[in-house]
Order: sequence, then C-alpha cells, then structure tokens
Amino acid sequence: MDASIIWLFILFLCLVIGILSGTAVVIVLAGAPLLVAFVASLFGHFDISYLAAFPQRVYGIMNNSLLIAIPLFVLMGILLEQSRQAEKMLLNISTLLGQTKSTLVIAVLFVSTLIAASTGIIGATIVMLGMISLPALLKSGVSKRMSSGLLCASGTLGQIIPPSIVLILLGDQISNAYIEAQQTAGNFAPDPVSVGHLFAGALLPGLLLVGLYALYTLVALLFQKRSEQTSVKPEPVETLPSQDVSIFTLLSNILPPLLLIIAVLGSILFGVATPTESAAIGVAGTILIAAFSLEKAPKYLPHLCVATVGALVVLFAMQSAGLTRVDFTTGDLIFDAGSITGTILVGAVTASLIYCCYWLHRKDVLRISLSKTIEVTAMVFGIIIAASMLSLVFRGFEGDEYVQSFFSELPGGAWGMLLVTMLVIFLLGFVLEFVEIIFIVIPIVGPVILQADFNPVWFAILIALNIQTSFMTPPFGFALFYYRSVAPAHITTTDIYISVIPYVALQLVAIAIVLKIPELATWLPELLFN
Amino acid sequence: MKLGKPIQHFLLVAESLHHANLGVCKLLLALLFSTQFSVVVMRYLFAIGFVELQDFVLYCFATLSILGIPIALRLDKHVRVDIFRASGATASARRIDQISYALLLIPLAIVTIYYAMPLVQYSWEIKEGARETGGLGGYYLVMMMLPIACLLIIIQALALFFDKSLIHSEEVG
Repeated sequence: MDASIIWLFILFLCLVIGILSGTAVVIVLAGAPLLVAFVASLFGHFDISYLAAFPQRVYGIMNNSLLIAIPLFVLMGILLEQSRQAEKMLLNISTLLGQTKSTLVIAVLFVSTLIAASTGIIGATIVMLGMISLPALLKSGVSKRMSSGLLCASGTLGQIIPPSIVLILLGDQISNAYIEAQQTAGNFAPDPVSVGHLFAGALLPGLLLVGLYALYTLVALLFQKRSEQTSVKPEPVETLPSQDVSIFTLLSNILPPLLLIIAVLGSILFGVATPTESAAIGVAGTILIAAFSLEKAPKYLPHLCVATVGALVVLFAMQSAGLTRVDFTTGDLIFDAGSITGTILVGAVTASLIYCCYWLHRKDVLRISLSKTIEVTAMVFGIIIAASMLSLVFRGFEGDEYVQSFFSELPGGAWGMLLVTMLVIFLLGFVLEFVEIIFIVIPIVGPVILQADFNPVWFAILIALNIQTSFMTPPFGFALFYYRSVAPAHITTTDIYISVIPYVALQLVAIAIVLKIPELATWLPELLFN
Repeated sequence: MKLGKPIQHFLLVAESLHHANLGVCKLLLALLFSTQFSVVVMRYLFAIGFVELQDFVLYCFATLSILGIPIALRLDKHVRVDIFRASGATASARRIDQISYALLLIPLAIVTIYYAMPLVQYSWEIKEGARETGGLGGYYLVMMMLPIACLLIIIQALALFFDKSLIHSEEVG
C-alpha cells in the first residue's frame, strides 16, 4: 500500500465536496484533479510532467470525427422543439384518441416514443409533456403522482431510443475499451463495434421499455379505478381544443416527423450512411418541417417544402436507377439527361433550403436554435474534456491498477465485475450526469470487463439502460428538474420523487430482462451488420 | 462593491469578446451543417467526394467544440448540482463560484496553455495539415484554438469574478 491510494481518496473527497458545493461540475471534474496532482507533486508523490499529455487528449476529442454527429443531432432536436411540431403532434393525437385516462396515457407514450426517435433532447420533451399532457391527465382523473411518474419516465426515452447522444458517446468509449481489452486478452483482430451497432442494439430494449411503461400504467389505472369506484366521478372537463381533427391535419402533423425518423434511423441501421451523415440529412429535413409549420409565413412556404421533399424523392429514385452518377474515374464528365436533371434538382433543393432558412431566420427560430445548440454542445464537450483530465490524473496515481486488482479479487468472475459495474453506475446516477458517467466509468472498467467473453453491444445497452435511469433518480435526475419547472405548485417535489419510484423499478426490470435475454440487444445488430 | 475604471473597461472587453465568440460559433455551426450536407448529397447522388470538405467539417467541429466552452461558462449553462445551493445568486453561492474560478478554473486554463503551446508552436513551424494525404492544410490554425479558448476562459472567469450582475442575469437572445 503506498501513498497514491491516499491521494486517490483525497481526490475522491475533493470531487464530492466540489460537486456538492454547487459550482459548475465541469470546473470541479477538471480542476480538483489538477489541484490534488499539484499538491501531491509537492510531496514527490506525483510526476507533474504527466499532465503534459492533457492538451494531446483535448486535441484527440476535438478531432474525433464520430462526435461530429452530436451538434447536428442537438440542432435537429432544438429546431423541432422551436418549430412546435411535437406539440402539435401531441395535441392532435390526444384529441383524436379522446380524453379518457387510458387513451391519454397511450397518446403520451406514443408521442414520447416518436419524439425520442427523432431527438434526444430530454428537457424539451418533458417541458412540453408537462405543459400539454399534465393538465389533461389530471382532469381526466389520473392521480398527480401517476401522471408525474409517467411524464418524467416518458421524457427520458430519448436517451435509449436511437438516435441518442448517450449511445453515440457510449459507442465511442465502448469501441476503444473493447479493442484495448481484446488486445490484452490476445485477440488482435476483434470485430469493430460502431455507433450503428449500438443504435440497432438499443431499438428493441427501448421498445421493451415503452411496453413496460404502458403495461404498468394501464394496470395501475385499473386498480386506481377499482379503489375509487365509490368516490365522485371526475367531471369531464375540456382542456384540449376539442374541435374535430381532420385526418388530413393529423397526417400532415405526424407523417413528416415519422418519415424523417425512418429516413435517419433507416440509413444508419442499414449501413447506408454514418451517423454524422444521417444527422446532416436529419437537420435538413427538420429545416423543411420547421418551415412547413412556421406560423405567419407566406402561404406558399408549406407547398415549397412539400415540393422540395418531392424533388429529394425523385433524386433518390434517380440515384437508385444509376442515372445521376458523374464518372470521374474515366476522366470525362458525361453530361447526359440524367446528370443534368440531377444537378438542376440538387440546385433547386439547395435554393429551397436556403429560402426556408431565410424565413426561419426572419421568425427568429434559426438564431435561437443555433445559440441553444452551441450551449448544449459546449456543456457536453466541457464535461468530456474535464473527464479526460480526471482520468489522466487517476491513471497518474495508478488508479486503473487498483481497479484491476479490485475486480480480479471479486467473487463470481466476469459476472461479478459486471454486476458491480452496474451497481456503481446506478449509484453514480444519483449524483452525476450521463456524460460524466460514460467518460469516467467506461475508460476505467471497460478495458478490464470486456476481456471476458461479453458481447460489447449487449454490455453497452445494459449501461445505456442504467444511465437512462439516472435521469429519473432523485435528487439530481434531470427529468425531475425539468418536470419541476413546469409542474404546478400543488404537485410537491416529494410527490415527484415518489412518483418515479415505480418507473425506476421498471427500468431495473428492463435491465434484468436484457441481462437474461442478451438476444434483445444483439439479435438486430447481428442481423443488420453481418 | 464599486468597481474601478480599469475593471469596468475590462468587463466591457470581456462582453464584446463573448459576443464575437458567439457569432463565430454560430457561423461555424451553420458551416458545419451545410458542408456536411453537401458532402452527403455529393457522395450519395453523384458519387463524388472531396477529402478537403470532410476535413473542413472536422475543423469546424473541432473549433466549435472548444470555443463553445467559454460561452457556456459566461451564460452559466454548465451543469451544476443544486442540492445545497439556494436558487438564484446568493452571496455564499457567489463566493463558492469565485473560489472555484480562482483555485480551479484559471489554474487549469493556464496549465493547459503552458503544455499546449509547444505543440502549437511545432505545428505552426511545420505548417501542419490534415491527417490524411490530399486533405486540407492549415491544421495548425485549429491547434491554435485550444490556447485561444483557454485565454477566453480566463477572461470570462475574471469577468464573472468581478461582475456579480452577470450571474443568472443574462438570457440567450
């Protein structure tokens, strides 16, 4: 036992105190290790030149082309939020399905799943659900605790249903850890793990969760009904504009996001495009959707958007027929009817996109979306960079070796390690945020745990489910913060904390199911990528 | 606390730097999207690809990811754990922030600049380009962004240190 274990303990203490002091977490995550390392170096217990590797690590993060997808997916989500498309979807579906308890619950889950599949912006989803669905749920007689739990849990679905930022970050970290682990174990050509694998792997577990939420809520409603039969029937109150929603309005609200989701997810899952490329398509599509539903815009703008989508469809049809190819390999440009039409259509699509952006800019949607995207992206990258400082100092104190020896002494071998890791992540979820957990825990435990014969996709999905839970575990669950900010005062914070307990339990059930049936996570990626 | 004239000047400079930086980041984000979109369109529809464009996307991203951090710092958008911290800017919460800037953040930025400068200098001397052959040149400009971001972080941290009206008062707009 040498001095470094004491310094690691001091570091841990400083981190806890710093984080709880309420100052920005990034500053503590990067600053506390630096301070401890500096003090330790005064005692001759730390080689300060170790820190010279820090800028190189930051450059590594800046040049990680996998992470380019993050600002793009964030932009997509924020544009969709700013355009109020999701709100319209929720309103229309709720109106269509009627205002009984169970149909409202189904509407909430259905719309949450759709939003989850198009963006991963947790705050926006919960604020919207809280503003629109909460009054309706309460007035239809769903108890305030059950509504709160349902809305908080539904809002976190975006973290597990692809495309999600959690999965992109996990994909990056897991693939590094997996390669390192397999090389240590003597396998020098491990099959690569990509973000696409994780997206495919998370799809079924994500839908499983939606199913569990629905099942639990509907059954709980039945019991609630039975126990309340003697009490007064809640009066039917009209909260949502209950004018007839024509099938056309409904389709025009649901179809565009649905098609966009299919295009973005499909292109990633079928290996046609990388996540970054799909994200760019997603942003372009969202610009069209936002312009389509822009209020107080010229009447022809929606028509223009539809025409643009039509042009894109024609373009892709031409591409599949092999009509648009410009052949550079032979050295001559063949300008035939196909390539000329293609070029003209691309020009038209570009012009139309620019025109849509002009209107979004005039209505202030674009400026706010860009600003917010920069803030969210900076928040994420600040933590990634700070966590790299922390793991650098952690390794400088040989913390990784302590983890390794701790793991090797655990009973139960690989499964013991897995269960301890899951428990640690679950507990960290009460205090830390997902980026911190991914970038602190995975580099430390991943290279050890993945030496065992675990499927890395399955391992990643288990962690993703676990991390998603951290969004709703009191007291620091982000879903709860956002929900608190929109919930009326008569729903107390204690109500909210109690309301999520059943849903946290459901998360654990889902984790147990995926633990027991790994095929839920591994079947689809193997089908698509092998 | 009445602030001296030099500090007030400094606060004005910090504010205009913040706005300039925000403008640059917005531009970079717009460029990032439009270039990536053109890359996709060209590759899938016409089967043409330019390594330079892909590199340009990466440069935009690299710059954006690091320059955004001082913006989030100034706008107080970085995550906090608010359990013991009263909402709003109370005196003690402000004191804690000031300590964290002086003791943790500013030293961190200085250390990063100290260790990054040799790398930047070397990259500048050999006029380093992108990793792949046939890629875009000028990578040394991207390398420069790390010390620049650190400098901006120091400036904004000092501004937050001196000017208490900054905290929780500015909204995005």
